[in-house]
Amino acid sequence: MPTPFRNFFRSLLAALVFGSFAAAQSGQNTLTLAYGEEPDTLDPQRTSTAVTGLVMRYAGDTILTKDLTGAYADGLAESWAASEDGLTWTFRLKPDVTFHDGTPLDASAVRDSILRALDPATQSPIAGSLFAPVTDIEVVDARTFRIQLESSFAPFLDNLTDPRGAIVQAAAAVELGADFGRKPVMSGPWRVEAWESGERIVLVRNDDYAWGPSYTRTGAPRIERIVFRIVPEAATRAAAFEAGEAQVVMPFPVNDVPRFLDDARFEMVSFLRKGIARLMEMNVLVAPFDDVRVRRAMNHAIDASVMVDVVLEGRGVQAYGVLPPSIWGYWEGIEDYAPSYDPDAALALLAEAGWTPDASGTLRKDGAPLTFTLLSPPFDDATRSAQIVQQQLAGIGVDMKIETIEFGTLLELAQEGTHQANLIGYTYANPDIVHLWFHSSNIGTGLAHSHFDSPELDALIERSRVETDEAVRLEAYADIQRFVADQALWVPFYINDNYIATSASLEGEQVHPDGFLLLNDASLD
Amino acid sequence: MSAYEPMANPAPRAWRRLWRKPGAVLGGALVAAFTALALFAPVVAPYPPMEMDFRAVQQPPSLAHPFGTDDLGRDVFSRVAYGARISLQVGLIAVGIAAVIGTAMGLIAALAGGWLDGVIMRSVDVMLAFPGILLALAVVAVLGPGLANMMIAVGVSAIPVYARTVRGTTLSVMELDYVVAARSLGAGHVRVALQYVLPNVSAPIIVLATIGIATSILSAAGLSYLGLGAQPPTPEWGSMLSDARAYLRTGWWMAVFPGLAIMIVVMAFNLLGDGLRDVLDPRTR
Amino acid sequence: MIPFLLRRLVAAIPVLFGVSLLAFSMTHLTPGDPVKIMLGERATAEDVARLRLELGLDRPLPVQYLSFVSRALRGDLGTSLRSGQPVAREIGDRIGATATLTLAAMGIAILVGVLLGTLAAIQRSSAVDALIMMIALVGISMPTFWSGLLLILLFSLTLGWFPITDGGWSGLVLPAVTLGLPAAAVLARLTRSALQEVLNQDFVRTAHSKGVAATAVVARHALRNALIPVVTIIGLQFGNLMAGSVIVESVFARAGIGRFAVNAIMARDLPQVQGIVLFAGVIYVVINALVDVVYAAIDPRISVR
Repeated sequence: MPTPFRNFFRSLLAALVFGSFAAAQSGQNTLTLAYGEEPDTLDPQRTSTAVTGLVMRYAGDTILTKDLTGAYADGLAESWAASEDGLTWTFRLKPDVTFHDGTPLDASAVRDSILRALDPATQSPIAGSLFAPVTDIEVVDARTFRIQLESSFAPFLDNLTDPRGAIVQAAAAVELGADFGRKPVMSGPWRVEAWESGERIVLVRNDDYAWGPSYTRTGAPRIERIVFRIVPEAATRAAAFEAGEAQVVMPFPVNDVPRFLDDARFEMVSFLRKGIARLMEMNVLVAPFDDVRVRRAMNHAIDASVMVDVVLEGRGVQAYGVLPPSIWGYWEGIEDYAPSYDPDAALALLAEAGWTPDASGTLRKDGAPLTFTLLSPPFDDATRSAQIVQQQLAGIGVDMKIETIEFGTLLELAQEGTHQANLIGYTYANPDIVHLWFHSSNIGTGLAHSHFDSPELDALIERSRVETDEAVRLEAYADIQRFVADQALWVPFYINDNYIATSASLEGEQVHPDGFLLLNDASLD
Repeated sequence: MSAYEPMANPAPRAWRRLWRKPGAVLGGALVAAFTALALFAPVVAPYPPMEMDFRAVQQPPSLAHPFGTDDLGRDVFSRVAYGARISLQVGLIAVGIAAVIGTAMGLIAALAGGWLDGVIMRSVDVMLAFPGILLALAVVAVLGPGLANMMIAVGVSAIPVYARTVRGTTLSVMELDYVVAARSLGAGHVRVALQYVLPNVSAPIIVLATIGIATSILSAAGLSYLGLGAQPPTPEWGSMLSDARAYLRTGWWMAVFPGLAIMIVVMAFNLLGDGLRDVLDPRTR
Repeated sequence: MIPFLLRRLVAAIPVLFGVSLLAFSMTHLTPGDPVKIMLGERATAEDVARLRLELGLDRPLPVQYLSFVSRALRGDLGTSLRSGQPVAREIGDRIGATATLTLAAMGIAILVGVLLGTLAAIQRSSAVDALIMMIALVGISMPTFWSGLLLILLFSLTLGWFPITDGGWSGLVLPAVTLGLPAAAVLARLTRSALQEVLNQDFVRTAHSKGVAATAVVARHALRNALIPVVTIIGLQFGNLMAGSVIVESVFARAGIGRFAVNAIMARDLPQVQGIVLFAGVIYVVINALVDVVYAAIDPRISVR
């Protein structure tokens, strides 16, 4: 019988027979996390989804980690040192570390893992760029390895803490092929036991775990199972949490927050997102945004504080530049430096650019009205922000049309460079994100949707990557923030407070500054 | 040959009988009210439907805002009123597309017969092999989201019903004594279609169309829920309902009023359609 | 009977052909070069040429179609672009959930719908009749995502009777009711009108006047005749249920084909879309054929024709 039919009957039978037992599985020592998206793959080196990164926080280990204050701390490596010129990094691994399949995680295993991330055959979307400047990895002995960088790379240590850089068992990846993406062999406190498509990802405790970071429990965790329950509908997530079917929901829908804040059964933690939640990118290749005066006028014409009040219901702050206050590298002066809400200034700039109002108030140039299309992803906050912007711009005579398209398609169109403007947002741990957004090497292939090709900006960005002196690096990032504000490539809107909702029955969890729950020490009562 | 009696001119008798059915009367009255609301929305609505008042966000129903305001400070009553226009548009255009194309297909299939009949009906079967919403999804996937494309998608997915019904009715009409006689005297396909078939097939089409308007409003709501419907800030009832999902506990009015509007209008068209079916279907006379 | 069955199966073949043709042409109907779409942004000219050769897209269309069909018959529906998994396996993983949901919803629809419709027909022109018809009307007038969320609100959060996301039998109730409600309403109305028609006929009145108890009359004569249109509609409703599962699966977080199809279409994962279209189409044709067979078994007139 052909495969699909066999699968049909097997799956039908399983659903009928075992369906009744599925409920029983959420036992005493199981933590259920309700999440909205499904991973594309659980192979951290092949994924482009954020949820895989989240799963890797529990199933994988990175070479280094950040402790609860944000300082670099031990991960798989117990110690590390850099050479004088910053081009050679030596790491010493903790002893007796093993992968989930029992094989040793030694220096050569680390080497194999990093090489796999860099291998063009892996086609790694993110992990590859995390290790991009690595030219060579030398195995000194079983527990020591040396990484050679082609040039000084300031974000290097930060990238080593990214969960998508977790060390994989490369040999197993070769052996299991596509199945490695369903059940990766990692080394973390829990291991992936099953991924039921569309429903849940089940992690089971790694009883052999003994190499946790020094700022938390180093041995095997208390919680036996972690279940990532995939629930796409936000209202259902909140309902499931309220009914006690999930003990953690992150991120928690903003408008449901007030109801839960006073409820003793639940705990709500919030922190400012590490990233700009919503911003408008403008494409400099296509009119009307080929004129910097029009772009600056947009910044003057849009009042982002309204969006903080209405879309975020006050739970967040206005964004002024390309970096949020929650990321190191943020320049406080940007709040005054960036163009402020000033409709008159906007009209003046537009007049300079040749756009003048007609009898009905519509701005025109040579008879043609000032109109553009904004591409928006289908997320609630994006469509609401878009509608607010539409009204604000209509107030000065600009006709903006909204087109909601699926996120993947939006990225494709923005890369092509035929669009005029689009909404987007990001989450990232360090300021090197500016490279992804603005360096000319990312035009057409990465996130440089503004298509702004400037050797001057490129130089500023490269300097920020190479410079190891912190103070100088801060200056470099301040320069970048000023430059982008001058060129008005973006209109930043807001940064939201991320809420994590946890059940009171979960104890010992710690909120990590990188925006996730550290569960090594947590238990359910 | 068959003794099936066509309706010579069912209109006057049918209308009179229609008014004696309370369900149909209620349905008809509601449909009329809905149409009036759609036509006179600019007059009825106290505020422009897209106007956002940021100081009056998520307000419960009050004198100033009888249906309350939504999450962006827009008056729900005005949006529901303008939404009637959009729903009427969607219903009429979708049903129009389905009825015109479906009738044409059914007529041609029945009149031409032979291999053409086979090809057309097999294509109808293929279209029927895909549940309405999947077909609509596929159309939107190819054409892109938006109100116009949604109308096309919903219309296309409804074509098979008309094609099948019209073909069936045409076949039985063609077996009528006098039609057979006319054809043997040389009446061409077009004449047969216009003079004999259409008057007889209009009844089931009207019934299908009435109920079809109701179904297309529901399909539009479903597509909006999946994010493939009207673009913001269009006040389409389905997308209003979908957007209000997150506020079910804190802002019930944002969902209840558009939801009630959908329900009442769909019920009205169903009642009217039922009444028409009872009246126009010769079997129940 | 057998010749009818054979004729029915033969008639299904051109439809299957049409379905497979439609599924095959999906890649070529969407705007843009299918290979470029598949490879995405990082594709070089060599990658594009290589994949085109690998997928056999350089061969003439009829040859491609034949290989598509032959692979499908062997159970190979291609490989998903996003996950790298065989599409057949992905469909297989999820079909169970949709099947149980659809069958449960159908069960509820038939039980509730036929029961209520029968009740309304017997009690004609009374308050019961009007009430049942009112409920039925409401049932077909509510968008499913709304009724689903309202049911969650009432039965899960307020009353606590059923779980929301947990599986098992109790977790099947709310989604099945949400999905089956419109179908139940349609069946109720249909059963009522079909029964009424039969109950009005002379032979029933004769039997009644001779003193045969009302229930016996209904059971033996009326119901059997009334079943015919009901069975046809059940077949049609199956398609609607599969379609409705798209929304219900999203609301209740069930991993079924419906949601899978929507995600595949939105992500432009063409091999997945192709596989699903082919699979869904074949299933529907098969179900329709089965319904016709049942129809013929019930109504002796049909097989004679």
